[in-house]
Amino acid sequence: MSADGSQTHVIFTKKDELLEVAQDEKKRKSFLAKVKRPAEYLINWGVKSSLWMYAWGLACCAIEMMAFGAARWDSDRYGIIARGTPRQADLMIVNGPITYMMAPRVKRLFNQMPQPRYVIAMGECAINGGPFWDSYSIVKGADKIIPVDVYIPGCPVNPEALLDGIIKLQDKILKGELAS
Amino acid sequence: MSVNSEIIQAVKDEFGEGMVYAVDRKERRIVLTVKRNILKKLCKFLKEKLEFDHLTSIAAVDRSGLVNGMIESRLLYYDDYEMVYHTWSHSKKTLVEIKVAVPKKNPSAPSITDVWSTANWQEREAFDLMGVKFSGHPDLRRILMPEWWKGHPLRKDYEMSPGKWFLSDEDEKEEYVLDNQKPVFPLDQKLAENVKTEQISEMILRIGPVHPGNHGPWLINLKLDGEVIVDLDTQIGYQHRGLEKIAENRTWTQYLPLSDRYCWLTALSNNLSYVLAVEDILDVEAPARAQYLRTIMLELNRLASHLLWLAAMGIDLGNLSGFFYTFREREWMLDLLEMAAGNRLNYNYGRFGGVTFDVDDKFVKKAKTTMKIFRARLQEYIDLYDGSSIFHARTKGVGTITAKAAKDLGVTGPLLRCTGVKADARKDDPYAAYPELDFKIPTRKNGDVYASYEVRMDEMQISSEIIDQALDNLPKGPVQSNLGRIEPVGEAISRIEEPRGEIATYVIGDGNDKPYRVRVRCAEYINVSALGHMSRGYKIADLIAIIGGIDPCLGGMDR
Amino acid sequence: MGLYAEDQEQLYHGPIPYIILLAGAAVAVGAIAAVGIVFSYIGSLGPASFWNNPWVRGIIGAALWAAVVGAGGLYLTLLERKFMARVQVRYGPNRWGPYGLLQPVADALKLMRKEDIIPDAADSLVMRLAPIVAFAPSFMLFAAVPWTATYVASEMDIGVLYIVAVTSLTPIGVLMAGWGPNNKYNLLGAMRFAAQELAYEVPLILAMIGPIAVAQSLNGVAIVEAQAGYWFGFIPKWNIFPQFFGAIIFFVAFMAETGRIPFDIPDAESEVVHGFTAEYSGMKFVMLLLLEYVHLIAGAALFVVLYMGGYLGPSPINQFAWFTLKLLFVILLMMLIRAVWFRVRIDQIMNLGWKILLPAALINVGFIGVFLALTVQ
Repeated sequence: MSADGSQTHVIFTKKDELLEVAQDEKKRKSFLAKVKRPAEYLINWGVKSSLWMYAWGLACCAIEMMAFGAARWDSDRYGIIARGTPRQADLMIVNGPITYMMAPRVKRLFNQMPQPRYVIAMGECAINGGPFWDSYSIVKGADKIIPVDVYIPGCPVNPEALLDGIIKLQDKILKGELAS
Repeated sequence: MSVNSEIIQAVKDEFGEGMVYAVDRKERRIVLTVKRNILKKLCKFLKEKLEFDHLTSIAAVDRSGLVNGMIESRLLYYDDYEMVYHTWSHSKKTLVEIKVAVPKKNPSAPSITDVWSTANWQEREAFDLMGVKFSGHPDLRRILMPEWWKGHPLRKDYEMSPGKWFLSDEDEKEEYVLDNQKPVFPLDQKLAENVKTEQISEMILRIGPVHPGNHGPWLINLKLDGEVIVDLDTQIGYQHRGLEKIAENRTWTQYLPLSDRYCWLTALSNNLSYVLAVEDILDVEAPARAQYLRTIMLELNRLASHLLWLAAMGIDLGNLSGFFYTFREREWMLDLLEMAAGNRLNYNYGRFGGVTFDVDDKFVKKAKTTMKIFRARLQEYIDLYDGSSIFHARTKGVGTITAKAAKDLGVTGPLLRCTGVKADARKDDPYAAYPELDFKIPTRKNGDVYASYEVRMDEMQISSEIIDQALDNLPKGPVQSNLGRIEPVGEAISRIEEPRGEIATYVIGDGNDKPYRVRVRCAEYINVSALGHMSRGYKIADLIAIIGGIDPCLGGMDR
Repeated sequence: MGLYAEDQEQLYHGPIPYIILLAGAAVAVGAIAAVGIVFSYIGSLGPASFWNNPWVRGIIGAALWAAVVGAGGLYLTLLERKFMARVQVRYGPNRWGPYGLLQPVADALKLMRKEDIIPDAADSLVMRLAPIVAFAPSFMLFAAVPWTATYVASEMDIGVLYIVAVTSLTPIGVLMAGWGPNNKYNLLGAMRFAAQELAYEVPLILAMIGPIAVAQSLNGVAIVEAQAGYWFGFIPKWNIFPQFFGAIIFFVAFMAETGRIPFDIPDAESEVVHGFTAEYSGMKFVMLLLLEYVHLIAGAALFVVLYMGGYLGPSPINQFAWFTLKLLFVILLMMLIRAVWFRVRIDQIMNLGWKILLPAALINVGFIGVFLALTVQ
């Protein structure tokens, strides 16, 4: 909703539809049905086991994302490595506030990522603007411009919390709950 | 006769008694209120005759909403807007504040970019956020807000409109195309001595807004001849969160955690810079133990920040292992900071008249052990970095800047010290417990990336020694003083040496529970404005090394 | 130090990861060995056999090599990640499969599933063709590498010359990869790659002349056989000892050709964002990624053949094992260099190539000529 109360258009209807379809499917799907389609399961396993994250930084949480990749947490254990180009990334971790100036670029970068692609909103700023909620230049949450799969609260998010969020995302992927 | 009164006398002799209204505030600070027409002359006089070679900050203030307060400018030449210039003399170790009243209708002031080049970006910022026009400015564009933005956010009558909330695909495309067509290359002949090529076949390359070598979202438009940089234009503001405006909508205490977030790597310096300014207005001092704790935490923060710089430098120059080694030790520093302050990055450790938490013996013991191991580990980095001839080849003679140019461009911190200027606010303008501690300021002569590397490595060594000293001398006593309700009246500026240079916070209070104006001068913002000067004539790979040497932090640049 | 017990522990995790590290490498190299055994068997059938018909043999060889070197390249990525992790005080992949051995499988599955993007502005045909053109020649290198005395996929009298000729095809593919996607970073990376390949091709070939002159043959097997025997009964007569400078020139030159740190400027992440692979996704990216690793195997194999006595070694271990061990040693050496060195700048690379390595290689050739003229009658 914009300030004057008028309805604004939502861009990413496509993903929502896909999500609905996926959820319907999930209702029908028992464990047996999943076993019947081992290929899909295998691919999902591959996708979840090799989530390459896009190496970028917006704000504080980017530093914690780096710490997550460094020796103490070592994201490489989970097969998560950082790629510098969106074309080879599967996972975009929105790690900071998105300004109106940055918003078109964030969306563009998301569009540049090939399917299947996932987005994690890391930290309060990416969830809803966080401590800058009443600023004139901040988009109130990453989900206003791109679809988000997992939200991780924190300011800044600890590497443990990020790991937890990523494991949750992996579970979702393996269960086939995410459409894209 | 003290230095301050000498300066006041000299200024009054030059311009006449009636033209300048001068106040000698405490020590190390003079306030001069002048009319617009003599501003430029005064600046020139201060720089050339009185050796005020460093312009700290330029603040634009909208005074129209100011109800209350001891404001010197009301006594002479009052108007709705006001430009406040702070200039520091490295030799005299004193700060001069120049105030110029500007009318609200069609606000304009003479540009002082030809006195101090560093005024360039600061005036652009004042134009962008306050709408003050500067006559004679070479390149007056918006800098922090996008070109399509309407209005000037820091004005008191600015309506906090939410801007565009949603983007359509067309919007995004339009924005991108618009952006692509608009690189402005302010190639200044005076600064472009490095460029040797006469006939160039140009290619324009955009590095950013998101690029692994950028350390955050900002855009560098490069004009290339092959791989040689002919000219470059920097576009920042991708992380502009409007913190100065947010400050006006929070109480004094509520703004403390936000002041951490100018730059997440130097959160403590930012926070304490704000705290010190407010303490200055309130005229209180923190207890001795709190002063020592501040010092310890500031130095721990410096170590953490420098270690991250070293890690990023390693990645920039292609050495992946350095990143992992330095982060190992950085985690120790963060453990200590977390132990004391309760957070890993944004500590919110400062309080008006003290610090948040006291530390216990366990912390002291752990900190001492850490410092001992850290100094041994520091040698490992020197082996890894300095021991590599490729590192020498990549950094020596790259991004060279002279002391004169560095002062002119307002560069501070290791980047200034690596040119041979011994300037450090910890010594020159002491705060916290620094006057009671014994430490050296490392300098180098060459002014290239390698020199700044050496300065930073020395600083890490010295920081760990400062921590040891402070831990040994840690006095007993309370860490907070009870100040009651905080409603300061008046203005103050504080200078702090953060890991990247000088951070200055200028605060105005009008007796309300909210700050009237908070203006921050971050070192990164000014240091990055020197990038063009430092990198013309070098190659793309050198640019990455130079950026690594500048050690930009986007939070500090955009605020 | 009690406070740092956990940090101290981090430095040593027991011997198992190291064993697994070598096991991972053995999987990669063992697969290569398996192909070799098949071909040794075919070779033993005699020239009249149907299986020894050059066409049949060629087709079987090509198919097997494509599978094996592809898998080997993939597992080499795991080896590298594990090895780098050990150097960098961390574990490396260890979650998927025992000790992370399924990590390359997961990567491959995921990359196969990835959307294959051709940007609107791209030169579609060139972009599609580029990975194939770049990738095929590096596979073709293996045709002339002698894994044992009996097995060379295609035994040619001009084996080494063939390898040189094929290597110089790769830059064409890479240049296409730079041009096709219409991305400046791709273009910059590709131009850097081409410049680098050109500069180092010459010293590489000049350094090869040494072993060739000693063996008086361009055939790989002959070059290896010329290194048989021992000096003083225990020093093997490998070319690396008398031609130490030649070996160093060759090593540096092929390191530059494979484009790895310190010569990885074509895909320098912090400068040109992965260079010529920047715009590629999915399987096309896999091909360009494997290019580097296959190049690495091929270069190391060539180094082993020319300077380290190829498959020669004391008899209890068979020739294949000797070859793979030496290959592994060279590869691990390159990985160690990658882990601790910095990246050089483009002009420094050019200086090193044209101004130092080229004259040095020429002098080296001169010395070897004089030496041979004096000793060989």
